[in-house]
Amino acid sequence: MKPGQQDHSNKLDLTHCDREQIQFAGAIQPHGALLMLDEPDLRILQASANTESLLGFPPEALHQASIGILLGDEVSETLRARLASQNISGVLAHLMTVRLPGRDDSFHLFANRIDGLLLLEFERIDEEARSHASDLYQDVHASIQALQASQSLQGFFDLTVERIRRLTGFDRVMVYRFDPDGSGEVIAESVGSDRETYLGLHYPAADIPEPARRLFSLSWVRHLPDVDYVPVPLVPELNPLTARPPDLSYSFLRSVSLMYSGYLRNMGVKATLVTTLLKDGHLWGLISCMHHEGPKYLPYESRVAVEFLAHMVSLLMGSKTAEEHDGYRLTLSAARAHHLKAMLGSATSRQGLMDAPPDLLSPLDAGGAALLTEDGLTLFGVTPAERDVRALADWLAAREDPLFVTHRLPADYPPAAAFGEIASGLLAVRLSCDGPDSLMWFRPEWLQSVNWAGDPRKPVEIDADGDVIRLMPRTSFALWKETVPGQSRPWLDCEIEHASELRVGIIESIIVHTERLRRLNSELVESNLELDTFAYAASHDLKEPLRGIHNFVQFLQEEEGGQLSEQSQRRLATILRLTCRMDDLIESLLQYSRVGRIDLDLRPVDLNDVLAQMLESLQLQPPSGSVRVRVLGRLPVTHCDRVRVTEILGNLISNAIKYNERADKLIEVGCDSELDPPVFFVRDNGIGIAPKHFARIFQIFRRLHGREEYGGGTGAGLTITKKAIERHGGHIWLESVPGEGSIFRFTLAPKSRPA
Amino acid sequence: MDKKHEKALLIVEDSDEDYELTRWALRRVGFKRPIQRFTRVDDTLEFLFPLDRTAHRALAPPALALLDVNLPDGTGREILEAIRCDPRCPPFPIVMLTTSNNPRDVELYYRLGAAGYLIKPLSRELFASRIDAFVSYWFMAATLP
Repeated sequence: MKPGQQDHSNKLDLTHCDREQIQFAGAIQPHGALLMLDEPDLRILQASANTESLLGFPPEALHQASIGILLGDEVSETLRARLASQNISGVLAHLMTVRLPGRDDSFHLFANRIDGLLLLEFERIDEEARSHASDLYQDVHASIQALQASQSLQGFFDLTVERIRRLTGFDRVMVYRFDPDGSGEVIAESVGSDRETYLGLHYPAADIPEPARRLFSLSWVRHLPDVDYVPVPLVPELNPLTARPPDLSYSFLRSVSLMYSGYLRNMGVKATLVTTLLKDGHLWGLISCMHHEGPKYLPYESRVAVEFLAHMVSLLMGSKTAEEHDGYRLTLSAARAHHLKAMLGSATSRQGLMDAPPDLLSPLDAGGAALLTEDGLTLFGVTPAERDVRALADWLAAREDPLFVTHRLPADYPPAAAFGEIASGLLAVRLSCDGPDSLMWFRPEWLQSVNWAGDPRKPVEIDADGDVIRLMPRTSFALWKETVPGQSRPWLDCEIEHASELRVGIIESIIVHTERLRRLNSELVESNLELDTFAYAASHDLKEPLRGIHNFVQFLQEEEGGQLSEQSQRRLATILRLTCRMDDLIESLLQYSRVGRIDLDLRPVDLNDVLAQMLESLQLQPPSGSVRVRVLGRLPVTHCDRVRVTEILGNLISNAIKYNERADKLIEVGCDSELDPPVFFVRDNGIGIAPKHFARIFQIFRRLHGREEYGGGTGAGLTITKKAIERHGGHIWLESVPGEGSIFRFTLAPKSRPA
Repeated sequence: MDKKHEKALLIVEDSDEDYELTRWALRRVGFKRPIQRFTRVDDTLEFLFPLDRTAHRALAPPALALLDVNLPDGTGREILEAIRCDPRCPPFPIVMLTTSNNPRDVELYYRLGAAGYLIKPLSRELFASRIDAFVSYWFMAATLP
């Protein structure tokens, strides 16, 4: 066979199987009779072909007749009353038991209303089963008590299958659990010792196709008493009102799919009873009863008991599953509480997660963990390489869902095949809506061997007879082992819950931190402004008395100078000198506070003009030697406050001249315009600054030299310069070699954030 | 001109030392006009805008006013604005005399209608020379109302 052909037939079988509409089979099993009626007349529109033997009338005699012909007037009235009072939509309801007039046998009567039609089913009452109903009740009651007391989840299911097998007498009872991909596994089994066990076997998704799974979720119990039954057609075949076969979704007599009966025959099964297990409203699995000996009919009373037990198992299962990991769940939730507390107590969420114990990895059963935020990537335990984790985070960021859970990462994300040994399992949550920020846990590969009931790659066989291709259920159920690579142990619900809740906690903490930061910032801006206002007012007010002192000393010198001793005259001169110095200091303080208080007037400024004007006004004639100021290239037109920038350049250039003992002083001004933001510089060949003083020179009133050395000064020039630069969002720094010169560099704009 | 009818120089200055210094500087350049001094905003406004509108001013309106900016009960700005906004007040130039060398202040007072802006320096000699120039211009070169 050519590979292409194989591929084609594979597709054919699956689509065909999934499309077969079992509910419109138009036939029933023979262990009861079915009528389709219209309402409110209760006129019989269709009848199953077996009504004569069961109910005493051939279908032709019932056609278009009122239900009264079968039930008599009195029972018909009771039926009408029941139909009016009971909900029969979306369910097959047991209405009543009836004895047909003139006949000895009694029937259970079931009803379902669908597509505007009334479906009635008759099932003959098994008098013996009825007489044992109270025993059944005792049995069910005891079973429930035992189930509640079971310690582990496995024990719970083992007990379930054992009890149901005892209750029903089937050869084999199994609990079958669906995996997310539709395949399933037998997780508990009770079977006679003489039969092979199916426990641990996996069945491919094709074994229970989608339509069958849909019907399972509609009714709790499906019963096939005899796999070799002869289907009983409806007469007429199409409903006269709808002109198509009636929808038998809720019928318990409904004929089964040929694929299903064929499949069972291939497995050597003669009769089945299947009930549904739901968890949180979703189809979770099945309790499957099989009989190999021969046909096996389970009367209504026993079916009700099984159905009741299945309900109880579904209800108890949730709490048993939860209890199973109670200790672990508590550990995780305690760790989470620690994380949240640490985050709120720290300066940033990240710091809280990193610094306080426990770390992100140890509470959770994983091989490694990774925390990626804009501040960086931190790895814990055994993880893929940093660049692999970053690439994975980028891939995750493109996904819609902030939570990603997989136990087979290489299948979901092929590049993971390279590090599958370390991370075949991934539990990840995203921490930002537009970035790759995320928290991940990795689980190593777990080489697992899966026991398939037959080769899962050949779920269906094709019987090609000439031109006709028929689909046949597979005949081989021989154990077929498969070792599955690239998979980890699956993540537990409580682990996924831990990740989701931690994510919410982290995001909340980020919001709290952002808010806190915003508040602090606005307080800081406020308080800085207040401080500047205070400094301004204070220094302004200080000037007045200082001027008084200064002038009155001068009056004193003038008026009384001649009478004072030489020493007193020297002291008066000192007072004068000190008032001058204090006035300079106050003036510097005023300028400094002004830089902080006054809003910048930002506009494009041609710095070449600024520099030219400033050089003109600067006194470039030193007592000896020469001063040369060279502009290297052209300065760019820059968005800045012209007055402040004049101050900045003026301060730097006059310092460069001041702190220079060479006869030929050379100052170079330039700009590295290709940098973003552009970096300006002022270079000199002056005395230089030792690196240990780099920070001190920017402190206010801090001078590295004697008061009168290098032309004096208050020591506020660089402080004001720095503040003016910072008001622009820029910063200033320097390089210097003592004895050779200094270079001051500064920017006039904030660092642009990397895209 | 008869000195008795000469309009006075109005000085609003709360600091006695600064006032004394101004008097000294004026004297040094031979300034002879009467000087009227107020130390507060409300006194000044009370003088310029008597509550009893029909009453004659006790004194004639000044020839010129020297206004300090920082005063105990307000700022020179309030006085300047009151004068400039009220047509009842006879016109006369107002020159600010202040410690503040803040360019914003300079700009503000000219905008509000000040005729001049004198900064009080620390140096007495510098101050004296500024007062000298002030008197030469306003009282010798310029024509006052």
